[in-house]
Amino acid sequence: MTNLQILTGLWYWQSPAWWITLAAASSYAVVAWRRRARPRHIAFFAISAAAFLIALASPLAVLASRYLFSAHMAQHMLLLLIVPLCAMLAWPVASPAAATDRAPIRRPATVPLGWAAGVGAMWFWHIPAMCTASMSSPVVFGIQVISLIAAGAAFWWPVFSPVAARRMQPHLAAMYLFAGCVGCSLLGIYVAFSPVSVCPLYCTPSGSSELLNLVRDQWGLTPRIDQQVGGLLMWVPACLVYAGAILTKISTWYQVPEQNPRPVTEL
Amino acid sequence: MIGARDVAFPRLNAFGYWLVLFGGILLHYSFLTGGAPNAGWFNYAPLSERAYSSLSGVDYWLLALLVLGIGSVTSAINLIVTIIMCRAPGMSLQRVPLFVWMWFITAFLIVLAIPALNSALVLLLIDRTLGSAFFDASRGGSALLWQHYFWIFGHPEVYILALPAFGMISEVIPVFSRKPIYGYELVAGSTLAIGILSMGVWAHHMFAVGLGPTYDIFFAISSLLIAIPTGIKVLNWTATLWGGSIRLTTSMCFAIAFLIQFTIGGLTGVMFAVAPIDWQLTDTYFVVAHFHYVLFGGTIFALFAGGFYWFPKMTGRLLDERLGKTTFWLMVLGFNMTFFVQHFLGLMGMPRRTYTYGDHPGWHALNAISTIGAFFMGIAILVFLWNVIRSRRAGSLAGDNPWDAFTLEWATSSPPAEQNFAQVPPVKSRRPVWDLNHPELADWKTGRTPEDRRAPHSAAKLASGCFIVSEAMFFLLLVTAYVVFNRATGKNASARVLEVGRTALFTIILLASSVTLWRAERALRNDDRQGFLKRLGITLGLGAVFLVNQAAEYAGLLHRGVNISSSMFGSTFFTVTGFHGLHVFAGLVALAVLFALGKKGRLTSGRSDILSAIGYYWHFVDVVWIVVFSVIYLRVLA
Repeated sequence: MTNLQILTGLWYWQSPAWWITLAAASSYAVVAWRRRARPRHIAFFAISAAAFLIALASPLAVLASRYLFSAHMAQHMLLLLIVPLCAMLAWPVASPAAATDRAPIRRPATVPLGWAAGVGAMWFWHIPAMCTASMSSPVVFGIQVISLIAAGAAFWWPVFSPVAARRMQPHLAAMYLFAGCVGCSLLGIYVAFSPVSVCPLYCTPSGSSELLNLVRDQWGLTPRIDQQVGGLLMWVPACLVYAGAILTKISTWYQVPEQNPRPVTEL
Repeated sequence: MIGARDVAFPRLNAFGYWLVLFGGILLHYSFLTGGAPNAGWFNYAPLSERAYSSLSGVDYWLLALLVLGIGSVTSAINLIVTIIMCRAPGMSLQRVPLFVWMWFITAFLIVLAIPALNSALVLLLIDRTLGSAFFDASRGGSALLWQHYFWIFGHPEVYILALPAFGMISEVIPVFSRKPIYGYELVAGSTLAIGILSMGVWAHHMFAVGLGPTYDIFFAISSLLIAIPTGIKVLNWTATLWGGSIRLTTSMCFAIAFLIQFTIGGLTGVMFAVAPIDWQLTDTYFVVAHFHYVLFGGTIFALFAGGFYWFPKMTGRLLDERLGKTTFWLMVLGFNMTFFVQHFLGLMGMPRRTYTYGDHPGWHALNAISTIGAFFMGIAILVFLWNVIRSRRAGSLAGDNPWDAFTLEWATSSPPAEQNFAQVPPVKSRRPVWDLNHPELADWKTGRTPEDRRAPHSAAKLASGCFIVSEAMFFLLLVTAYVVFNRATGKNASARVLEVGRTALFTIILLASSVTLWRAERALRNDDRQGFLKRLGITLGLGAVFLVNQAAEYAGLLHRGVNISSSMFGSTFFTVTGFHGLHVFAGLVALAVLFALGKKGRLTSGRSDILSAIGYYWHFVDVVWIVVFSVIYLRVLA
């Protein structure tokens, strides 16, 4: 099997992800039409949908199902970080007034809850027992996917909520994101350096021997290296997503608010 | 520069200063004991272990660096709180001078990075004095762990040195170009990006130790990324020069030389981020050339630029320009002669850290050029010192604002009076003094910047928060050491000797003390003095009970032959729990002081934020214990 064959042949055409994406796209089309979404919004929706399909229906999903821990980690990062974030950025607000027209929340529980959900979900699903369960049972896998997306949404909500009054102030958001980065880095570092397998099923060969030969011998991803790549993915690129979000937030912090705004939410 | 009368905590400031001074003296005192610290600046284990460095030099090095580190952290916390709390009205954080902003980021880096060094230092100190083996591979330790811990500190440290220099350049270039800085937001934002990235790229110092290609690839990429924000800065400084009416004062000359030399150092840095080039060139003079272009051609030149720029504000007199130019040219010539040729020497393979070099073709001539250059630099320094001494006594008077500069420090007299400002000018833009002196061209008439909308803070609570972040980093690395050394073997070792049930009970007692302290805070806020004293008393009692139990547990373990040098489990267990116990003890002392103050009636509801600040610390110590208990007793990670 060649790399090209993997890219073209290994798609899960029966995956429910296609139907979910189709349903989401048609409902989004209605919202986008009604609320006059800008091209920016539609682009973010496209990224979100593409990330969702890559995570669940593409060759990545096949590799993640039993061959490569690193693919499994990439799948989690797409579901937790990219899909909910881009979906949130894709949401057009009904009117500019809606962005500010709510009463400011005084003690937003969304902040600690969102943080705990975002970081906790990643840690929880890499307890060896949970990792094994999600690989052996389709039901647990379904719960895993839904919980990752939901936790990601909860994590990003206080930072990029479409409703401005629900967002933290940019400099607080920067600290929130930095703390998130630390939380995920610690997991990444632990996974990368751990001599014990985090997901033992990836060490026992199963599935197509042709594919196994390819990833083990041609790509050189032995179980040990595979886990290192997985940990490093969680550690370095994931943190770059957080760092990028921090810089986006700080750039809005430097913008001068428009004339006569309502008082900004104090947290 | 932010219109403050003083730092937030003047006494802490003095404390930090004395710590740094005595830390430095302690370090140099080792010379008198006959054993200078000679294991290199990064003090790699096992060379720094007792077996290979038996004299006391390394011990002095460790103790002195601990003292210096604590001094640095107190200063950093002070700076953070000062920048958040003490800005003049109108001076929003989006308007502060870039020098201040960069110090702000640097202070956070110090708070996060120094504890990593401190934890490595205490582990090595325990190795050397109590006979454990954290970094001794022959007894189950790991010499690589020292490298990781050292570079977790060491790489941010590079930026701790560089960012304030960037800040000076960001003040000097606009003033002598007669323009506001080009892209203020980009310079400030890229500083933040550098700060964040710098915490996650330490392993690029370890390409040559054989971590494996997986690590090398990821760290090479993340290290290359740092070039982007740094490049943004260089472009912005250059764009500030573009079209400005440039005044080539000595300060400006140094700033321009900085730009060129720092860019060269940055480019060789990008080369090193590529792992194969690093393998080829590591430990050669190419490295020496690279970091001197960054730290000498960069940081030291920026210090000269800043020195010539701020000397009149510090002393009231200008430095002599003619002598200054002499210093500048001698320095540029000497610096480039010394270090530029070392690029070639490095490529030819001349190793660093040896006192002599081989007799190979061309090496002699290049080394001779280096030596002559070094003499030029020496003369330049002498000229500079003479300039300082002479100008201090007889330099021409500077007046308040000799450069027609932009930022608030130039609005007060030179040198500034005791309280800095009699009256702070209105701040409506990033260049308040420019606005004051050139009202017709004021910045706020043409461009708007975010207004000052600060939330009220408590200085004590803020400082406590920063301190906790720093402590969290320290414990994080200690607990990491526990996990590293007990992952495979710890299960049996800890299961045999630890009494989980009993410790769980005392865990609950410690956590209960957090609840009683929280109730004591509430009582104090409501002016219920009796209730406050009662609850604080219970808190003290619960904390003491916890410590007594810990002492009993230690006695039991020691009785059974488990001690700090008996096994890796013993070493890590006693280190982690011991440091936690010390923190509980420190918290008890602080609370006892508050109890005494409360008894005398000097702690009232108006000053409850002090209790809250100590309370934060107490709750933090409890949270640490939850982590320690889960990792060591419940073994969630091992």
